Amino acid sequence: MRSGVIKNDELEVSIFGPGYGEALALHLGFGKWILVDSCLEPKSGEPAQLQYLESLGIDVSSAVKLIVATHWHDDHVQGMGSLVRECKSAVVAVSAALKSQHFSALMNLYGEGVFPGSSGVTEFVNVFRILDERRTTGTRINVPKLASPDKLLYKDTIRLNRKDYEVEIHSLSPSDSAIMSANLDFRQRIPNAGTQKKRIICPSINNTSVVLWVRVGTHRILLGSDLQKTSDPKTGWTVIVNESQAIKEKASVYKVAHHGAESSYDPDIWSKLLFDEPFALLSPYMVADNYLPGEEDIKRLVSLTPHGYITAPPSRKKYKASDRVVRDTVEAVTKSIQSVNIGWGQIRLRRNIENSLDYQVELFGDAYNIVVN
Amino acid sequence: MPQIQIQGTSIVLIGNLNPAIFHPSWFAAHNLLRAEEADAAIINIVHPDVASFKTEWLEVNIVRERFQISTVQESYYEALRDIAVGILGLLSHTPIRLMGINRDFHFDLVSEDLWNELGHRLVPKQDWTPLLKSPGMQNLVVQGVRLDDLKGYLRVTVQPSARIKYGVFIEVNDHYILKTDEKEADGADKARLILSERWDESMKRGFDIAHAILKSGEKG
Amino acid sequence: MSIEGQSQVDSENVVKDPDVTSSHAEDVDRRFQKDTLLTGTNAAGYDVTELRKQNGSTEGAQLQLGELLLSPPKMPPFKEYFKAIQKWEGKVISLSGDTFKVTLLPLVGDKIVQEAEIYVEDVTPDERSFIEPGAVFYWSIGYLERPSGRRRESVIRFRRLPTWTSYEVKTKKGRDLTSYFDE
Repeated sequence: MRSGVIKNDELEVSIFGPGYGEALALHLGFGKWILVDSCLEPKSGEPAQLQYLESLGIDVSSAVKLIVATHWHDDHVQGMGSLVRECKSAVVAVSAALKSQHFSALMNLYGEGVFPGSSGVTEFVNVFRILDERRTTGTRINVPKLASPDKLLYKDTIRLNRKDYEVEIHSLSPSDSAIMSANLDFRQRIPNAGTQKKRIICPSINNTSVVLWVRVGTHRILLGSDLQKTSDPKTGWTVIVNESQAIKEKASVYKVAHHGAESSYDPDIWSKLLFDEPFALLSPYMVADNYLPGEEDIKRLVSLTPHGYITAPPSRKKYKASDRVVRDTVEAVTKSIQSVNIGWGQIRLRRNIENSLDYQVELFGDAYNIVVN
Repeated sequence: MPQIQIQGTSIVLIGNLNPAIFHPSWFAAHNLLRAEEADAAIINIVHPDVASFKTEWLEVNIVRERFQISTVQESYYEALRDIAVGILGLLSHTPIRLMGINRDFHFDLVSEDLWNELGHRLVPKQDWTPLLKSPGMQNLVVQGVRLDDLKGYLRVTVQPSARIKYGVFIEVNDHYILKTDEKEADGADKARLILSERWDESMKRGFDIAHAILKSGEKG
Repeated sequence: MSIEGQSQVDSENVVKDPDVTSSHAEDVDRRFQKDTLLTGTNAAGYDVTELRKQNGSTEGAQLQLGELLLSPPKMPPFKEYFKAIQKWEGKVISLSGDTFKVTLLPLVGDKIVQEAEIYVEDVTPDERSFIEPGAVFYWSIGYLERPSGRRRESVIRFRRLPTWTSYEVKTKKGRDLTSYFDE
């Protein structure tokens, strides 16, 4: 699918997405990678980033330095356990909101074989179980980091042509208020004795989401996760725009927050944190009546930048089974049925770290430019 | 490719059990079976030493050292797993030391030639013809080590099918050793975790092994 | 070889095998048609975890209990077998009137998620109380093979797990995973 060996002096931002799931891989120079979130490639069922890096001939056990789980929702952590297991050299960073006795209780209650199959919570249980196994070796690297405002998660210096370039990754969220609010939410989700066991439904407001600010030399990238704009100025994007100390210059690449939803649109992001007409990357999200980005969201994006790219079409397609019996039965039993993650794509941006030439954009699978289309 | 005509799945636990509790009504009371299913169950016996009953899709056979549930209804494989997960959760202090997740299949090879060819491929006859007249494979059992991080093995049994003319019966026993010494925690939680997290891969492994055996018998 | 009916186990031919999660009978006598639950000690010392469905799936196990041999009621030689053509694991998103919205993850073939609105009446009445957000179910479509012939079947079955017990809720709360973080 994707070839193209990465050079030591190249910066890469790749985003992967089907209709339910999103993940990123960034190359920060000299074979060092970071991974953000995790999703599964639909045909193989394997973590997309691992498949990609292995296709480039990269040894993930040493090359991946940091894995960030921006929040605990199912669509961002599928396969996270595999990532942590395979990327043995990586530090794991999670939202500071998860350092909570209530979330800990949820992991204990909903993890460890209680519910067959995977979910966001069980993936986290998996991650902590792997870290626990490694902890016995006493290696510092295995201690997970907590992402909070202006927290430095990763730092490096790379040397190109006798010049040093700083590499830094800061988290910009969640804020203290968001952490408190998330903690209350976790407490409310702890079940009572005698109630039915069922899966957790992810909340619509995402207070725990980790926004990342990536700096490689003079280049900056804003990874917006699923953070939303909220009415509380001490949470969401408002507090980042107004109070972040880590942001000193503007970014030229933006992983659009929450799949381009209106609830995550804050004009101050575009005017204060981003250069004009940045590269805007996003993946669609389609569950039940949530259908992102919608038509208005796309129009808004197009008005903000001509360099908007999406990993797959945000559309549903009527499900048509190849087998006649299945087709007839589905027709009889359902009022409607559609295939959701009918697409799969990768958007890859690459540029030289040293020079001022712009990013080269490559689109794979079903990815396309939302402006052109 | 030969077609599956009949298939089944079973979960077997070896440990120390109390068969007397495993009455269909107990399953219903703990939401493991529908009340109607429990009421309609055909009970062979429920006794301190043995419990045995069946429902429309489930067969339960338990003695003091062995717990076994099985189904031949493909639509209930996950439900079978859920019953085991539920029971292991309720009885988390029950000493369990071994578990097997088993898949068995009856394939129809259709022709006698293909049927004989498979048998010959798996058990070449040239070493047997000097010893026996008209040797034929009756039962082949092969065991291999696990490729994952768990203790146990995989054991495959191949026999002529007694249910299908020119058919072959294949059973894949995915065997897990949950506890190797007394100091280890009882294996109920481990068993539950394996069932919850590795069920799909176990099912797929059994399916893939069975099909690979048949493929090996196909004419090149 | 033809399809044979059931025959009695010749218990003397059966090697008793304890740590067998398969019925590891060394018996290769083709008359051995039944499953046997084996208890006692395996002379070979092997642990086995198969249910030995020699020449049959679950045909009704005989239970050897010391001197007592328990046979199940006489079962017809042919049973019902369901062959799935498609299977999904579903999760309920919402319930509204006579339908409920779900996501469906195929358990067979490509893992392309579907979303559907299913009629409540296609769920068996005593499972309708399970229809609430977060509930998991299994949906299989296939053929049920019966002595009377083949029949198309669609089976929706909600996942059943025991309710949360006080013990679970209390003790699981006690484990503190926040100690993983040194900050």
